[in-house]
Formats: sequence, structure tokens, C-alpha cells
Amino acid sequence: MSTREYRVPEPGYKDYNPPAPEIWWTKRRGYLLFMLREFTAIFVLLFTMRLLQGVIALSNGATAWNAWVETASNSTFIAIGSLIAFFFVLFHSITWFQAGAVVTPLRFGKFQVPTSLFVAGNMGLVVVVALVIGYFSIGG
Amino acid sequence: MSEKRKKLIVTRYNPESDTAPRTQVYEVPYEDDTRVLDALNYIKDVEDGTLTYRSSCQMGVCGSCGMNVNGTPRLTCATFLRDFEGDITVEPLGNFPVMRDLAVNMSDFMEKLTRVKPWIIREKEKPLDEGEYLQTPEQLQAYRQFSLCINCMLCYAACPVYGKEKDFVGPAAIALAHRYNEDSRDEGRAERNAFVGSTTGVWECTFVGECSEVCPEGVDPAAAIQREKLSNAVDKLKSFILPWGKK
Amino acid sequence: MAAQKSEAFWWLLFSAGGMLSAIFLPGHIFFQGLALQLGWIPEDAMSFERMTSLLSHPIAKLYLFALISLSLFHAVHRLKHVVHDLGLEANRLMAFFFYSVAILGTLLAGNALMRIG
Repeated sequence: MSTREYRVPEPGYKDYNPPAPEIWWTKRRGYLLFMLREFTAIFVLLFTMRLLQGVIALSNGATAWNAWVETASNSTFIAIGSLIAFFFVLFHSITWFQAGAVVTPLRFGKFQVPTSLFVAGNMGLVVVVALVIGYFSIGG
Repeated sequence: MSEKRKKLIVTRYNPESDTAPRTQVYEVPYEDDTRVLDALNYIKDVEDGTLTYRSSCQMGVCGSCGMNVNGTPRLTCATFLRDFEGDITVEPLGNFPVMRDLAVNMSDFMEKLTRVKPWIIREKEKPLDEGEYLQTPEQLQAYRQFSLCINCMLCYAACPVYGKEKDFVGPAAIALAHRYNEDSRDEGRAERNAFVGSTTGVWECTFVGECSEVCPEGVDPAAAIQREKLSNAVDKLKSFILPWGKK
Repeated sequence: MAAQKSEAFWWLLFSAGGMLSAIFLPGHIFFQGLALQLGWIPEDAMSFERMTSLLSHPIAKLYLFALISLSLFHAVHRLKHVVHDLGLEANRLMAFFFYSVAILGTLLAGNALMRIG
């Protein structure tokens, strides 16, 4: 009587490897929020470029500067862009402070500041800073 | 009394005869306290003895029963049928090669856990007659959370970076490295840096944060990774500015 | 594709820029973006003379330089990753392109600020 040859298979030799989906970030709510958060970078970039444009204009003399102020005050494109950028950058700030609470938690002895309080405190700082910026912008 | 029944759509894969996974639908009776794992046990006992899956403690401490339930990595012993409306899809844990039915190949994960050197590393071992290491409650708090990992791999299943880049060291392994780096008895951060701070280590992570979302034990591996990024970046900065200094 | 060897360096710049932009950009967008459009800023406040005098202060120059430069590094670092996440292969050329934008912006900002006042 012949005995069947028994071969111990190597683990994994017939594993099925699932392919990674190309558009993965629509699959979960957490992934979508992540993408939204990362997208705020576009508005950080665009507005910072606006500030850079202004600084360069100022360094190039009165004509260049007045042209920049004119666009900043009257361009509809800038108006809509600034509004959208404002909300996206606020979202950036909030999510940034949420991340901050995770990476560098604030501790007073045993008490750890909860994330919501950490974010609220920092957003309060943003308001105070905005008031200072306003003071210098309006004519302090 | 009418019996409640639910349909489970379960992934089946027989490496001897299939080239790709398929699904099989089972209908199971359930009560308020029936978990997905109980449903799988019922299927194996009564309907289909060929169904293959892993489980052990059935109470959320061993980490064996992780699977994708309706697309979300869950511990099936902690996932109740009553919480789902409609049919329930049970798939093998995401991002891992499938060995058979619902059992995945854990080798990559196991290998990475070892490579972070998850033990106390000392420059000089403290001799026994010098007594035990003393640790204050505050020192324990610094790493305790990260020691709670049950190696269930749900975080790897949830991580989109690991989904695309199998080289990524991954959440649980880095959280484990962090647990030792933050232990006051340990002196091994520099030794772990080579692996943890490598280009396939913390620097692959983009802080999506889903790993911490799905973690059943509250380890918060995302926090561990970001903190390791900070200490690793500062270490690199220090060695750049003061190359003669001790790392 | 694995991360760059220099990832830690860019991440530090990204973090600093993230902090500055999170704290200071909202105020600037409100006053140098929205308020101007709504006509809430008096004419003379934005005059060339007043602005030049305001930005002549070394502290003002340092502040704007740090804010502009680091916000740029923050944004390009994130966008590099976004482009990769959207499916484009993360290669060195793309990273070089993104960081060059920030480096160029930094140089332009430094140059301009030095010439004011």
C-alpha cells in the first residue's frame, strides 16, 4: 500500500493579498475628515502668498502698494477667496490645537487639561491675537 | 416568542481551491447578548463546520478575534448583533494577507513587534543585590497607557498608510517602542531610534488618527507616534547641532 | 514609497509653521482680507507712509518674515503628502518642487522686508 507523500506547506504560500484601493479616503468618515484637514494647507498657502505679495508691493513703492490695497479692497475674487480661506484656516487652527493636545498634553500635576479645554484656550488666544492685529491694522 | 434572526455575509477563502475570496450568507438566530463571535461559533457548530476563524478569550483581552465588521476593524467578541440594522458583513481583518476564510497572516506584525526591542534596555544591568527598580506613580503614568496594547492589529487594519505601504512599522509597534522609551527604567531610546525613527518608521505616518479611533483598549497609538516624531526630530536636531554630544 | 531621509527636518519646519499659522493667520485673514473688502479699514490706515513706518520696526519685519516663511513650509509639506495620498507617486522631484516654492517665498520675503523703510 502506498503512502501519500505529505508536504508541510509553508505558511503564507497561498495567501490572498487584498489590493489597496486607489481612492481610500472616501471609505471612512475619519479618512474624509483627515483629507479636509490636510486640504486647509491650500488656503494657508494662498493667503500667505497674498501677504507675501503685499510685503513685496510695499517694498516696491507707493504705486505698487496702492495697487495691492486696491485689489485687496475691491476684487470680488479676493472677497470670495478670503471668506472661504477664513473658514478653512479656522478649521486648520482648531484641528491643529486638537493635535497639539495629543502630542504635547498640558499637565498640572495629576490634572491633564482635556482636549476641548486645550482647544478652547488656544482659540481664545487666536481671538486676542486677532484683536492686536486689528489694533495695528486700523490705525493704532 | 418570535426568534430574531440576522443575515451574516461572511468571506470564505480556501487556498487549496480558490484563487480569490468569495462570500457566503448565513442566517443566525440571536439574542440581545449575541456577539458576532457567538454568531460565528453558531455557524461553525450548526451550519458549516468548515468556517475558519481565530478566537480565544472571548472577552476582549487576548486580541485574537479581530475582523472587519461592516468595513470597520472590530473585536468580534465585543461587537453585538443588536447594534446593527440589516445584514452584517464579516470580512478578514483588513490590510493583511488572508490565509483562509477569516484568518489572516500575522507574520509581518509579529516581526515588527520584535524589531522595536520591546524590553528594558540598560547600559549596565542593575545587580540583584542592589535591590529593585523604584518607580513613582507619576513615572508609571508616563507609559502605562501604552502598555495596554493587546496586539489585536485593529490599528493596522485601520491605517491607510499601512494599507498602501506594507513596510510601515505601524501603530502598535511604535506605541510599544514608546512604552519602553517612556519607562523610567529604560535607557534604550537611541537603540530603538534606528528602526522607529527610520523612513519606514514614524516618518511614514501622516496622523490620520484612525488607529486610535479603532483601538479597543484606549492605547492611542497615534499620540505615541506623534510624540516619537517629536523626540526623534529633536534627537536628530541635537546630533546635528552638537555632533560630539552623547545621543 | 518610504519617507525621505530629511523628513524629520521638514516636519520641524512644518510644526513651527503650523503653530504660527494657526495662531496668527485667522486675524490677518480677517483684517487684511475680509475687513478691507467690507470697508472697515480707514483709508489712511492703509496708506503707504503709515505701512512703511509700521513695517520699519525690526520686530515687525522679524514677525512677518517668520509668519510668511514658516507658513509656506507648513503648507507645502502638507500638500506634498496630500498629493501622495491622492495617488501620485511621492518622488523626490515632486518634494523638491514643493519645498522650492517655500524656499523661494522665504527669500522673496526676506529681500522685500529688508528693503522696506
